[in-house]
Amino acid sequence: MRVEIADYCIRCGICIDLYPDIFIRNWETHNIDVAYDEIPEKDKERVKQAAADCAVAAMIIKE
Amino acid sequence: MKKTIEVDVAIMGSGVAGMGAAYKLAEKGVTNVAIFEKYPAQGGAVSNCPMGLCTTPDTVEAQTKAFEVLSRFANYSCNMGALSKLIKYSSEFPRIFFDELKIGIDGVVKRPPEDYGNQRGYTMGHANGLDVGDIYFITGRGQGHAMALALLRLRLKLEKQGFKFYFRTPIKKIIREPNGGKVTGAIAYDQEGNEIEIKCKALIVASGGMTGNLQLMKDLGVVNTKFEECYTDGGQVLIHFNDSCQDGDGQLAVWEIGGKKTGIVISADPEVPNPWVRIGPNTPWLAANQTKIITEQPYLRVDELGRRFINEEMSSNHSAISTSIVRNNPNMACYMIFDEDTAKHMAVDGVEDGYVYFIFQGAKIDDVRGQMDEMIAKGNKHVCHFDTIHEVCEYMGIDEKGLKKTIAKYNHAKEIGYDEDFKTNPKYIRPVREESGHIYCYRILAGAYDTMGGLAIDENANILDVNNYPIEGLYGGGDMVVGSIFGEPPHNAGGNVYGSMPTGMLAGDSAAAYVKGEA
Repeated sequence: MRVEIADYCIRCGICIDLYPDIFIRNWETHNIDVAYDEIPEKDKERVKQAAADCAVAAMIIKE
Repeated sequence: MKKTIEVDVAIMGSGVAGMGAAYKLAEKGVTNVAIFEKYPAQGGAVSNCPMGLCTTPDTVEAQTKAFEVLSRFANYSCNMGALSKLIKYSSEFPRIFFDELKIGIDGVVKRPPEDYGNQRGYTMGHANGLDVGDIYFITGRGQGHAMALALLRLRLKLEKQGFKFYFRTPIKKIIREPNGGKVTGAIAYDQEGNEIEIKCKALIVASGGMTGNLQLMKDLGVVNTKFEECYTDGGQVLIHFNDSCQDGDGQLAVWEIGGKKTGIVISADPEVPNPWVRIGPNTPWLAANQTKIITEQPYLRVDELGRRFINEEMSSNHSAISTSIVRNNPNMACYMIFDEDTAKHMAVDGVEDGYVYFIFQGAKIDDVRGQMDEMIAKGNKHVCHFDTIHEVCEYMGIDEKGLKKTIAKYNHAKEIGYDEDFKTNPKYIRPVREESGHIYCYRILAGAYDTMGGLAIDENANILDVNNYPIEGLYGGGDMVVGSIFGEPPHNAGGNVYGSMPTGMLAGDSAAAYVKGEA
């Protein structure tokens, strides 16, 4: 599983609040970075939950 | 080669004001419009407003009462022409957000006009206008912010109509013809720093406040405190998103071409600094646990010299508390102090009047000490609890002699049933006694969503020059202009959805009329 953050992400940080070990605010680029290219098995459910909780559906999961 | 963009209208900023302007331009058929945004996405400061909006219904009774309440708030020295229009524009919210943008409604509090201006907390002029209309609690996606979703949907709708959005592309300069002539364009910079010349018939400035720019706030006297590390960008007491890009670009650009410089204040939200500890993902503006509810209770609060400074019934009136803290107290701070008996009272009886802070109705406050300890364990230096007043004063830096004198008089006011100094209703006075077993203290700073003010507009949202003449082709909306509608802005005078979007809508309507030759 991979996850991409769409450019219309509003950078609100809900995903960071939920799972700070997976989603990281990049203060240089103003983007939200994902800690992994390939999401580890143990984190897949958490990433799915973060996508479901995203304010603007900007988290795109690719299986 | 320098890039040039030619449009009928350029908008600086895509927060709720800029988007409100764009909405009105589209409605009037003006679609050759470009929106320039410093941030990577639309939304601005108000995107972190997940819970609700206020709308004054378009009835004679409601419009008249709201106008009266808000005018009185400014001692009738406000920009009444603009005020009247923004109240009217607010009546369009239900159609825009619920019918057109399909935002869900969690609940509605319908308020009869005769009740406007009568709430203990959130009285006149609150940023959300919560006191002068119907309150809609709105539903976002997942744990997200409904206003953010609304503004994304609006952006997608506008893009289909031909509106162009340029993100990470801040406008830095405004081009004005010499000798007080009209505005003809602006200069923006793309992500690589390349200059873009914008040619436009009208420019709408709606770039928000300056809470991302501590140095500018300090230079202008907006922030003046020894706790300035708490005024970081979206971190502790400034409660918009982190990394906001609200740097005062619009104010600086307008001042440079002769725009009038008005007072600037931070908008109001008294906050206990509580870095990165949050109550939940969809409420980043609130500290974890029940701190916010506790600090809105009408109990003793003093400045660092131990002096009372306000009728404590104003404890949940953000405008009153913040204005007092900033104007009267050293270091933009106050200290809420109560004892173990009061902690038990909050646990057993709950909040005063069964109501505090409009989303926490009837809460009971469990384990104040445990909640404080959790914050302290995470490194918070702004809360404490000790057995003695002496220890509290030593830890917080409060003048002990002054505080003890204040407490003696405050406790006496309860005994005699009359508060000679501040006229606080005795039912809210909770004596502070070491004999109760414990003393609690919170440091509360004047926090904010944003800064208010900096620019002045006329009744059509035309930005004024230093002599109060409108600058032709230049319009303004949002936090940077709403404050001036209320004169020298009190903290919390406007802003947010109720103030910012209507001023943006007014700017959009006026710019549309101007470019169509109908002004």
